[in-house]
Amino acid sequence: MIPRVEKVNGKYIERILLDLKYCIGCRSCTVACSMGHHHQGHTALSEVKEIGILPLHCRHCEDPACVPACPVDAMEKREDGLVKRNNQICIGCGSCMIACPFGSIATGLKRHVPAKCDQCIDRLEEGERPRCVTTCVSGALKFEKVAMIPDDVTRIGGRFLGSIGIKRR
Amino acid sequence: MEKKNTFCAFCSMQCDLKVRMPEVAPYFTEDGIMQQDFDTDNVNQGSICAKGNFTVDYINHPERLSYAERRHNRVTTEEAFDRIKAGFSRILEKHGKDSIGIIANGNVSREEITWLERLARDGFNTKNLGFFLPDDGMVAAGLMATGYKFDRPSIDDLEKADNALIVGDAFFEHPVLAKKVLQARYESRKHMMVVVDPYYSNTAWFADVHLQCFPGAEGLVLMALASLTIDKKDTEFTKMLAKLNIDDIADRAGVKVGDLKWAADIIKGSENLSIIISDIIGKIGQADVCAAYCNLIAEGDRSKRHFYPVFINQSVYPIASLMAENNIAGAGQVLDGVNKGKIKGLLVLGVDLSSSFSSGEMDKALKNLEFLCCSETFINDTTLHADIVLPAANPLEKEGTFTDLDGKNKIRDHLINPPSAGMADVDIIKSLYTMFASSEDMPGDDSFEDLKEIPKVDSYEKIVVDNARKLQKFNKITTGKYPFAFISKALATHWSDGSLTRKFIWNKENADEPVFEIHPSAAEKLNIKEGQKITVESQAGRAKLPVLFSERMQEDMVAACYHWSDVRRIFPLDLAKGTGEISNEPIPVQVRK
Repeated sequence: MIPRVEKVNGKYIERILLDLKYCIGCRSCTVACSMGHHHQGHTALSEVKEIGILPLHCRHCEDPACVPACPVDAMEKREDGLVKRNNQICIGCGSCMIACPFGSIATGLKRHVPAKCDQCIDRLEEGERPRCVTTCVSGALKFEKVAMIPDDVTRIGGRFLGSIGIKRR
Repeated sequence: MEKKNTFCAFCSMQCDLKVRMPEVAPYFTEDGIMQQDFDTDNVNQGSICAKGNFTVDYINHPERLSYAERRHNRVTTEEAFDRIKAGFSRILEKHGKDSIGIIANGNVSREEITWLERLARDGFNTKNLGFFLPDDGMVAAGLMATGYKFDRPSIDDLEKADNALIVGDAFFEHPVLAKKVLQARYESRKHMMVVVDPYYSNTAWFADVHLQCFPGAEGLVLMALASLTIDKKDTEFTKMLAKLNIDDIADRAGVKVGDLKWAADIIKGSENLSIIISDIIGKIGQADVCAAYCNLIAEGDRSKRHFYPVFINQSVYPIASLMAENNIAGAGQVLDGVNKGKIKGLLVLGVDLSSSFSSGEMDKALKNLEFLCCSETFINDTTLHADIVLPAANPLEKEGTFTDLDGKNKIRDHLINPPSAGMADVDIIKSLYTMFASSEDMPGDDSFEDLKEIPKVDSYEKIVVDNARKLQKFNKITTGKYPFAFISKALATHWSDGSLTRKFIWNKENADEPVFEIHPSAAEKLNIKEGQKITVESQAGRAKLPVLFSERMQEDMVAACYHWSDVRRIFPLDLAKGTGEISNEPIPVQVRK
């Protein structure tokens, strides 16, 4: 098992997680994301066949594939562990979205740049949670310290499934 | 940036929200435009659904109407009011009593309701005042037929329920409810959830017992559940339950007898049962009968069962109370008067009638009016026919008293001023009152009391009892010529007629056109491929739209989101009495390439 990276520079890392047990597919998270980022929604949507449409957040990988893929160095791995893109530099070539192994960077271009989750850095700096997590109406999206995620949940990338599986078709 | 508290304007949940206010107009700062914030502690606990997330976008929208218009040309507010005075006075002189009608939307404040009643009675000398309740009219009729009391736990306490009975796709239509119900569900292993819906909806995903009946048979299922759970059968509604044969009903409704009895056992064994009905755009067949029997199941044991109807319109309860007093004609009668040419002048406040009734008959009737005045925030299909259009204020730009789902009053404060010549509806109504009412003194504003109950109305009881009797003989609605049942479905980001919601960029990108959903095996039989355009035709009309496969459907079902006028064309223009809602029961249709 790959060991978890729980701290960066002595600070606990927090990540957005989706608990499928609660997700009702209402899309509030994606609308809040779009509204908060001036109509450029940063939460990619994954269409999982026979399951539904689920939000797909950036994992802010420890060793991100998108950063070296960027030809103009617009992608940056910050000291706090977040992967951020500088929109002023981005040329919209789409290299990052091809490099991302999780498909978390949306394929469509809006205002010439692909949508990329920044975990609402503006809100984090104010001590608040990302927009999608705060607006989530059913409590399915959680913002948790990586260290606090229990080991007994089945983790699939950034999602974790509770012990009770919901049958969906 | 300052943060101000308010509450959402788009449905009866009235979720608290915070708005980040830049200090100077026109609300552009270095941090960007005025933004919506979260983190409150009301029923929503900081969450806002997809619809509510648009609240601020609505204020800053570039197409916002900010000046009065006379036949598509900008005029001053003074000139607009002069022309309104001349137009309505001419009609009153020529045609006299009841020649003017007023239609207002279902999100009006209690002040606006009071002033509209005064304007109709004292100013226009008419009873033709109606509040248009799209989506909610049928459920409201069910409540008026049985009488509804608010002496139940607050909607905030839904998470304490031990079991839930949900009619319709409540989670998708009112997502904020989901948090409370799911908290209750996952906190107790014993919690059971019964869902009645012909569609395998987002709510039905979570159900322990999904009573997936034939389209249109929901009322019959509720009657069966009422029959199995109500002991005292002594009223008009309950007497007919004594004769019901459960096996026969289960067969005709398309559900298993075992499931029905299991659901009834859950209801009877509950210590704290929450019964929820949500009916956006008439997805539920015979919603008045469903609401009436949900109410009666709750009344069967008031200490243990609690009924929560949730609406898309904010003011259904005060409007239903007013209609129960029988002082106004109701939207059905007003729209009927407009269609038949009896009403010559019309004042429309925040309703897009042309989009709501897309058969063409409404357009024709509006064109034939001698004078039409609209108060709107955007230009829409109805304002194109208007003689005068007044720029209305957004809900955050005016103050008012609203009644929440528990019957309690809530005051929304004025946060910002409307743009340019924009006016709050209550100011428009007061200006008209001073023009037309003979009394020189303006009456004062009433202080509003919390609602204790919606009284039972005999006329509604008669209508709903008749509907329930007819429903006892229910058989599948499909016929040889029309082998599919068509139901309307909701889209979480749209509400009402959708003419407003489609202006928002996110909505436009995500759902830019309606689609028909059909089951893949039905499509295979008809040799239809996904994405291909198909024609769905009823006796009333037809629509040609792309098709999407969905295993959530039953094999003989077609569904489409009702918030597009293309889809509305399939339903007959049949207005419900009082509430004025278009008849959007599931209907038989044929499907072809």
